[in-house]
Amino acid sequence: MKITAFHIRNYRSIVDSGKCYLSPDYITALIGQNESGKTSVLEALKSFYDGYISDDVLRSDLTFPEVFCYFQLDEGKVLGDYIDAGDFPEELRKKVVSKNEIGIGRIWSDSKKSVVLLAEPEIVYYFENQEVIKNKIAERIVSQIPDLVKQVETASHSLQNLESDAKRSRNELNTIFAKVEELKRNIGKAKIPDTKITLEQELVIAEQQLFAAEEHLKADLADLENKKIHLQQCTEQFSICRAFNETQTDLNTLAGELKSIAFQVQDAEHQYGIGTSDRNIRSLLKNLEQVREKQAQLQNQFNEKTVLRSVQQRIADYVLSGKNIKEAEHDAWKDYEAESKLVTVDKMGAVMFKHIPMFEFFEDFSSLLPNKIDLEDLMNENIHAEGYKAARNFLSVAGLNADFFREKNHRILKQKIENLNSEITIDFQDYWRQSVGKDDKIRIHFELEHYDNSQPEKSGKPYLEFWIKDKQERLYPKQRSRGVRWFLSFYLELKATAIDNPADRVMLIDEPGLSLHARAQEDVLKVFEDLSNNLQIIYCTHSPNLIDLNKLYRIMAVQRVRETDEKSETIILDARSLNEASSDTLSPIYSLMGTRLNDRQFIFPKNNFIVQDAVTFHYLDAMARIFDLTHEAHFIPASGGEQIPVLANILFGWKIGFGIIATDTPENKEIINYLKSTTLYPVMGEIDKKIFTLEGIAAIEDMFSTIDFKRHVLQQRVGITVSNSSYLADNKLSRVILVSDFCSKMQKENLQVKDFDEETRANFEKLFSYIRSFVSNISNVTN
Amino acid sequence: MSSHEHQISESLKYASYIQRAIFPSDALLDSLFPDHFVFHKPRDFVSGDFYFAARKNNLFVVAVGDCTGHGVPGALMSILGITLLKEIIAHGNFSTAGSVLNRMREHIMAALQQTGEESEQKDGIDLALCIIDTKQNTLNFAGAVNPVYIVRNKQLHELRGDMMPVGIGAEEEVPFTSQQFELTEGDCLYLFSDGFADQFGGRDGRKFKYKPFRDLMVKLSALPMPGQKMLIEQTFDAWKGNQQQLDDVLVFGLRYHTCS
Repeated sequence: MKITAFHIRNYRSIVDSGKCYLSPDYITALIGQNESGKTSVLEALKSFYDGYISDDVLRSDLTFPEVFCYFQLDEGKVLGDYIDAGDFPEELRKKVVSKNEIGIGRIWSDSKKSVVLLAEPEIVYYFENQEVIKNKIAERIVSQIPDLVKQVETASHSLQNLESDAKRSRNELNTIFAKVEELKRNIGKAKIPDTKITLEQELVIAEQQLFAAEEHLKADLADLENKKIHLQQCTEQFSICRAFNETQTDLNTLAGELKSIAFQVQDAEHQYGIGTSDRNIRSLLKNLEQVREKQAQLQNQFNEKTVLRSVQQRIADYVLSGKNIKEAEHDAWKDYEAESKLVTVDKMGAVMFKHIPMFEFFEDFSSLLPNKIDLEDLMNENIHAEGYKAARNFLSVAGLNADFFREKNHRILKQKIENLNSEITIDFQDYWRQSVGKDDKIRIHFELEHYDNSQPEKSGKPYLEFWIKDKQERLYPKQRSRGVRWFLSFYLELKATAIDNPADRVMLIDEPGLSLHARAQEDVLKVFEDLSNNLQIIYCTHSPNLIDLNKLYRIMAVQRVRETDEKSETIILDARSLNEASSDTLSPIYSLMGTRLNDRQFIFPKNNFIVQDAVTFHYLDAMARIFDLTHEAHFIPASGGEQIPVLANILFGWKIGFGIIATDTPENKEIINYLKSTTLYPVMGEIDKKIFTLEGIAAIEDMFSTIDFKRHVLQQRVGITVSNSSYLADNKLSRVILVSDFCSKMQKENLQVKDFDEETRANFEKLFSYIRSFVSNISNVTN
Repeated sequence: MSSHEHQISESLKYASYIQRAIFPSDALLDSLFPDHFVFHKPRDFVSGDFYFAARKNNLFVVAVGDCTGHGVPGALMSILGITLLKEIIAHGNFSTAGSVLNRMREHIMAALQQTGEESEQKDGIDLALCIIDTKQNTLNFAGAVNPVYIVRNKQLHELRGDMMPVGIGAEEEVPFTSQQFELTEGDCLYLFSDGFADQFGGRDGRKFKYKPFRDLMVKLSALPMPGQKMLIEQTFDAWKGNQQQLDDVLVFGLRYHTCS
């Protein structure tokens, strides 16, 4: 997998970086002033990988960091190849299994604890939505409790009334029944016919009353039964809702306790770390173990309660929807089991995290190549031995292991080492172009030697000896400059890591090559280029030599919102928004343009032309090549129109012949009038001939026809109805990046005059014919 | 006719008034080109074909455009085309006909937000544009697909346009070619859309085609302008017969007269 972008929140001065895209060719340079937050970006990425943050990372508002990295999956692979489609919730399945780019986030909940999760918008939205739904259900459940209490009270009151009613009805029935029985007995005893008839009539009435009373009682009992069921339902609903609420309260309490115990653990760890005596340490360790155990217990309780709450919530939801408690319990557990089988954002995150590249942070190459190292130290991995890391890297690069040195035949071993020496030297020299002597380049050699009697304790033991040599001399590494040693160690480190960890890796390098000469810094870039097939490199730099002017898409600018305020937050601008970066932040790029100028020895005794700025310089320089004017004119960039008089003064003072090519802006008109009016310039004579104003051209880009501007500069098909310079300003496009792209295109496609249309040709021909006439006029040399 | 259809028909009629109002008025045309004719036969109420005429100092500009589609979509494009031409001629610095078309193409691409994406609509205008310099007696021509015919002494000269529309095309934009032609007294210039040559008709129901169209122009050139229009109209009607008119038809003819 390759990392394509990152998004950092709440990490030191970075509040919210937004999604920042890395260079597509796997080499990204972070540029910016000191204290801008460049190193924080590298550290945040490292923290993303190892989960470790130090206390100084936390912001004063104590918001915890969140770092998201976005990855392109390996070619031909999709998310469904890593996580079984059936493990996704059904709603998500179709949307996400075919994804070939994913985001993974690490979110800290305290300084030690973080969770890794899949940060794909659809997935996150789904789970957040689920959470919202669950919270709404929880709120509904809790909000029902007072109502349910009332319902239970009302139901039990009604039940009591009904019971009284039923009792009354039963009593009445009994009374009527007794009366019926008595009437029956009296009828049996009655001897007088009239009396008997009267009693029989009374019996008929009493039996009717008895029937009515029986019906009444039945109705009362039925009501009573219904009320009982209702009361039972209300009670069940109330009980489960109350139980859920209690669990939720317990969970909140446990969460608080967990937070508190985390601090206790932290404190105990700290105390243990600074323990003095053995006894003290033992006691502190015991204390640490105790709090850790308590933490584990609390965590278990918390986990159990979390499960319980989840199930109770479901039961309560079902019960409130009318299901009976048994049915609700059955369904709730079934749901819970099904859901727990599905992947969650953190489970997905954990699965995918295993496949991401390894992030390695190189802050300081303190392990410089030693003069010599005992073979025993190397074989025993004695990391404290001086230069161990560099020496170990050397062996990895040379493809050597312990077996190599077990060769008994001293001659064969010597020969093997000699063969290896030439291989390593050649490989290394591919990158190291810097001459150390007059015309020589350095070579590195190593030899296997054995201690003599001068060191009796090591006598006869083998050691490796290293040499850095050129034609003139052979010196120990320590006799060489720190720069040479740094580069060598750096080269070995990168090479060795590539060999030891062939999988995808992301190298985070803080200010590589600080102690290197400019040329050697360019060599560092060459190493990056070579290694970028296997690894991705993100590095911070102030050095223009570590930036390729033709590959400005690699640049990521880091700066403070208020540049002079180190307390203001850090913003990160990737290549697409580089134009928003301040000129101070972009200074390595501008310096680079200056460096290139130095390379070219750009001030000549005559035929120099001061131009507006570095961008103008590069366009004119490129077009002069295309129009074959290279040897006739030498352009000198000012840093803006207002600097033209300064440069003019310097050149005049140095008695260097020059002209001025000015764009047609109100500001430049003022500057030109100023130049003409100063007492200095009339001395030069024919001042008007020395200043060429590009009429109607507000910026150098306007020299191109719209069609050529689109084809060769913008490299995009779009309708442009304003001047090219206005289009750039309106769309906030970076002139620096565009001129870089143009120069790159010019070289790549070998652009020629015929590749430009009539309008462009006419504009440049007009300027260049002025230059030619200027050049042919010997008076351009200032006397 | 249902009320709905009636409403549409009324709207289209009204749209045709608006379109006509945007076209150069007869008075303007008469003042710029006293000897001219316009044969304009829209297929529907409104037309995707349009003509344009203007003057800037000693330069007389005439153009005939044929927009993608006909009917309402074509008419909307034609309004955009005429408006842009007016704007460019009135306020832009143009040196050649090609530069006018280049500028017009930028405006159309911007207005229709064309960026060359495969999925986008490739709307554009086929257009022939002439800038006549009456001082120099020259014609500067640039064409987007469409040509201009110049008939002198019954000889037809064709200045062909570039094979790209004013608007986004399949290929990356390249400048339109400007062609210069010396004019003499009495030269007849014809600018037209493809509607006439592509009209099906005749005995076999086939297209009129360009060869007979060029022959017709040569034949016309001997006649005075009103006669030319009459003949062209008769020829078209006779050719079309009972066939349906397939596209808008526009032929703009003018006879060049030197200042002296």
